[in-house]
Amino acid sequence: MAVRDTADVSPVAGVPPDFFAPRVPRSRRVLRLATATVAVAGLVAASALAVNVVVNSCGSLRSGLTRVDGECVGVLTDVGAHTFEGLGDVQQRIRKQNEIVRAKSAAEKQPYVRVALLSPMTATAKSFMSRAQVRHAVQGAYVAQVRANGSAGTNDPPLVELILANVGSRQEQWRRVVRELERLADDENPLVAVIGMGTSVAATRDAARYLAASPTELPMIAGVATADDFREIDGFVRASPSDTDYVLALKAYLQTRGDLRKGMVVFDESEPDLYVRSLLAAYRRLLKEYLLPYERSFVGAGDPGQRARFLEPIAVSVCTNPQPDMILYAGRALDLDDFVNTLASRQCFTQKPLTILVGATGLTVAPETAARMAQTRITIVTAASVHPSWFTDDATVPVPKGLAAFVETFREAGFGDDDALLDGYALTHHDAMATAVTAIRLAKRSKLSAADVRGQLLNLNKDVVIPSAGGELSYTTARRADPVGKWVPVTVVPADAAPVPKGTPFITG
Amino acid sequence: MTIHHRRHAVELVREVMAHGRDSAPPPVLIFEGDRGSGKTALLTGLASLLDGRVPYAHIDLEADGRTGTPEVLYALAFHLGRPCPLYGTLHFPRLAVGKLVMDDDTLDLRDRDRARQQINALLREHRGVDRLVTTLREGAGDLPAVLPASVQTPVRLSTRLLASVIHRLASAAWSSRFVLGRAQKWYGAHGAPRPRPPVETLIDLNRWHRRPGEANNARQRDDLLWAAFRADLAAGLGRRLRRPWMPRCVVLIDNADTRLGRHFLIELARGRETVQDEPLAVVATSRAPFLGHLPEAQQRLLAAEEPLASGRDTDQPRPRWVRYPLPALTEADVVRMAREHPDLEPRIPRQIQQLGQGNPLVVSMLLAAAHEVSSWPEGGEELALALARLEPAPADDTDRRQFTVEERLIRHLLGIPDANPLPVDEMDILTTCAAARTVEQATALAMRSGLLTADGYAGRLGLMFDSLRSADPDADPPPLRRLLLRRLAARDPDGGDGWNRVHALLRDQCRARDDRIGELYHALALDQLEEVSGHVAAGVGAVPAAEWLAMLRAVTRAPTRRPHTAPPAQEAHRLARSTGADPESRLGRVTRLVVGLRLAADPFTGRLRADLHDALKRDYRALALHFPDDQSLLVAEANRHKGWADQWR
Repeated sequence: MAVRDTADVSPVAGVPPDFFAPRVPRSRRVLRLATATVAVAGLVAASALAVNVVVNSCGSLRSGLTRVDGECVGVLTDVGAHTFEGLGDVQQRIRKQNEIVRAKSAAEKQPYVRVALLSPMTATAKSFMSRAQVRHAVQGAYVAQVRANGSAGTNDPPLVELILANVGSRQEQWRRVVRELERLADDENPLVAVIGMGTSVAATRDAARYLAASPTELPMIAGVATADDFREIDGFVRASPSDTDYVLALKAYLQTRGDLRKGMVVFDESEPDLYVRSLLAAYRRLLKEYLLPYERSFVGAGDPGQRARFLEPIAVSVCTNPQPDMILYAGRALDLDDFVNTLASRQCFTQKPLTILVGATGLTVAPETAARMAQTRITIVTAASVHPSWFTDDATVPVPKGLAAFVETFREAGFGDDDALLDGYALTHHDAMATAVTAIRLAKRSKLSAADVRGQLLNLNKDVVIPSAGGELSYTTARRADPVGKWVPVTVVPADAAPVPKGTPFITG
Repeated sequence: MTIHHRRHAVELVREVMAHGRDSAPPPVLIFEGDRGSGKTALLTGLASLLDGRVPYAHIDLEADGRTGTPEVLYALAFHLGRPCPLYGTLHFPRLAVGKLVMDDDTLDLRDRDRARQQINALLREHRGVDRLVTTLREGAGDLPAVLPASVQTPVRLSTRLLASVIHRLASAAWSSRFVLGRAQKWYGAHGAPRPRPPVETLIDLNRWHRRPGEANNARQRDDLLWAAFRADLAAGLGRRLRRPWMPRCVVLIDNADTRLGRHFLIELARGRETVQDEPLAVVATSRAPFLGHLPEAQQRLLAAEEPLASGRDTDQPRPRWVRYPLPALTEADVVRMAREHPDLEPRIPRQIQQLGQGNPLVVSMLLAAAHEVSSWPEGGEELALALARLEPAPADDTDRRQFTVEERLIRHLLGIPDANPLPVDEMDILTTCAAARTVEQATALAMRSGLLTADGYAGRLGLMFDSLRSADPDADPPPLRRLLLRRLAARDPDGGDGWNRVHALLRDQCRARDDRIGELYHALALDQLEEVSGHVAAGVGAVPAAEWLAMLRAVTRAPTRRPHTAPPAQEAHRLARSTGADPESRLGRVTRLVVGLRLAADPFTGRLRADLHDALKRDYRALALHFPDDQSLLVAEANRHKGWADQWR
């Protein structure tokens, strides 16, 4: 509004310049002032929000991702809207597959459903999963999606779209992500299952508990969350063995090894690493006849600021009497290289070999580390979800029935990365996706909901066959989250350092 | 320049702007005063105080040219439509639609179907708020052009801004329909006893406007435009009308005592009789009372400093008209005004007030002129120096001419525009009439000239004559008469209409009518000091003190044609001595009183008057002894002069 400047000096003596100005009532002035203040504050807040959205957006503004601490977290419904580092080619494949799903469903006027891979999609020096593990997890889920939909979406409905939900490298942004997932559960093409769930850390447990109590009743099928703590969470199952299963497999192995009788527990004292705590408890509970009465701890991947510290004293203690002939390692695989290298420097390596036992999804050891282990007489025995020879043409151990189909589809995908299978992340996430799809198809209805799918999780047994690669998986009310039929092979590194059982490995259930 | 002694007038304006407890419309407030009494300056000051705070219109109805109710309404609408905080921008689409249709000379009044088509096409062509604004501005004719310069600029500026801001709005189809659609529709419910298509009313409006002489066409046109104006105003203000803390919009009308002004104000007052929550406060100025034909019950005359709300019986209806004669400036006001010229000789403002008699224009011009005088004479005639100065040069962009201060004052007090020469015949007779002490004397002189007939005033002389009138013949003369007396003194004193001939004539007339005071007055004007002093001295102790003092005061108001070349006390001494009377005798004292009081009453007497008033004090006290019935009156006079002596010192 154009308003002329009013005179500061009155033209009439004794009359103030604002003599005729309307006397706005105090209440009205206060109201106007408050309104103006609120409006300004709102404008500032909206501007700040807009700036925040723009500055912190990842990819396009509507990608669904927000930048937090330098990482793009959130739910990527359009999988191609943002490219996570190291996942570009996989994301493009998923995007194409999703396009096929949408086109096919539109053509046939059939609704499709969505499954979210909830997992770290980014990796940093402080993360629980390495960049390779992240990539392999996504690859595995994609392979299962392709198998579920058939090439060019030829399988029975509902076809399944895969979306990616990044909770951040340390899974700290789980809350905003699961809330977004809850909203997607009411979509026209609803989200009906969440797979992956990340590693066995407190954030994963909290997210699982949140979703368990959510009215959406989203089912959760974990890939590598092995901690026993998850067993009692409603709607939660996993495609991997539990930590108890790993230790049982190791116990079975130890029964074949008369030379390994004295074990010292070494554990990562980082909180809140549930995997470590759960594995440690299993060692203490199931292998107590092997345990020396003292334990050693270090600070590992659970505490990024104190990573792999306090390992040297352990190298000393293994050489003092009573000397252990095996270490029961309850720590992250990420720290194992450091641990091995520290033990390699122990002074008593010439006197006595040392075996490290560990339960893990999959363990890969760098060639130079393996060479050093051989020189310093260190052997790693691991109970895992996969065996390295499963993915070779001349397997030295039996392989699960469904493995070949998985490997074939994986190779057809053309990632150009055969070693990707060795850490087990691809296989377990494939099996998690396959489990989800099987439950979806079992619950097939005209209007499918997440609750329908959750209701079918513990019906995945008997005649219902999950096209899993790590064994003939099934789920029962007795074992709840833990799969029945999951193979837990034992691997020895270096391969010729110790005898390896040649028969069928430990199978859960 | 600051306006003095007008605070109460401004407070009255605020009273009529405020919403009262009852819903009755406020009275029209009329400021009355002679030329130069500051009416226009007051309205300009009010406009400045209102500007940017309350919507207002400021128009001068003394404008030349053919104007009527429609033009005044356009001007009001145009000026009220300036943006104002809290009030927003008032639009007048109904009035603009009416004007558009009225101005269409091509409308076929014989073929109604064709007329309908023409009106529809016309309104379609003019859809757009900016065009409506232009329409109103053009329709206001000469009225905006006579607004004070301080107000004109923002009008133009705001018009440009308004037009540019709303251009886009107006171009939008929906807004055009909104603006004109509702305005056009309004005419369907007005202008006829029962609702009908708006276009029919608009055709009638065009007919009424183009044939105003037929039947009561002009009245119907004006009534409809007034209704449109009021409807636009009410719609524009909306809920603001009911907010008691929001003052009414103000209409400032200068020179409302013109024929157009009277007609307009009476129509306005008639239209607001039935209105609830009247949105307008009307403030007008007038040189003379012009409401004589209205019942006295509808009017109220306020005394100086009397508030609007006082003394009114709440059971009685509120008056429709309130008149407030603008009070003259007091000496204290003039002293305050003189503070704007800190270097000015401190006794000059008193002389100026004596000449100006509280007339703001005269006082302010003389103060400004006196401020330019570098040195003052020892004797008198200080104001003659100020009057002889040229007024400040006008700004280049005005058509104002430059005159001496004296001519400027005369022109202004007589209402003579710059472009016209001073009318010789009228000025001659007015100059002659300035010698008259009473209205009757002046009228007789004018009739003698032939320019004034027995039936009444002729031409402009009548209006000019008003400025010479003084209700009390013994009061100090108004400034115009003072200035004209100087012109009379400048004539050959013994010529046809010279000073001596005219005053002798008037003295003889008074003698013939047995008007003793008038006779002595003109005798003193003829410098017949011995005769006058002798008569006044004869009354000492013989007539009551009050009567004697009144005679002395009236007689010594007599003007003088002689310039004051010496300081007043010396001049008084010289004149008194010239009569040969014994200074210590009763006659000698009376002679000094007559001479001294005559000098003290003349603003052109020198400024060094302290000794003069001291001498008057002494003579009053001495003569008081000769009035055994009431010495105190003369003692009081003595004390008064003692006070004046202190003030002039």
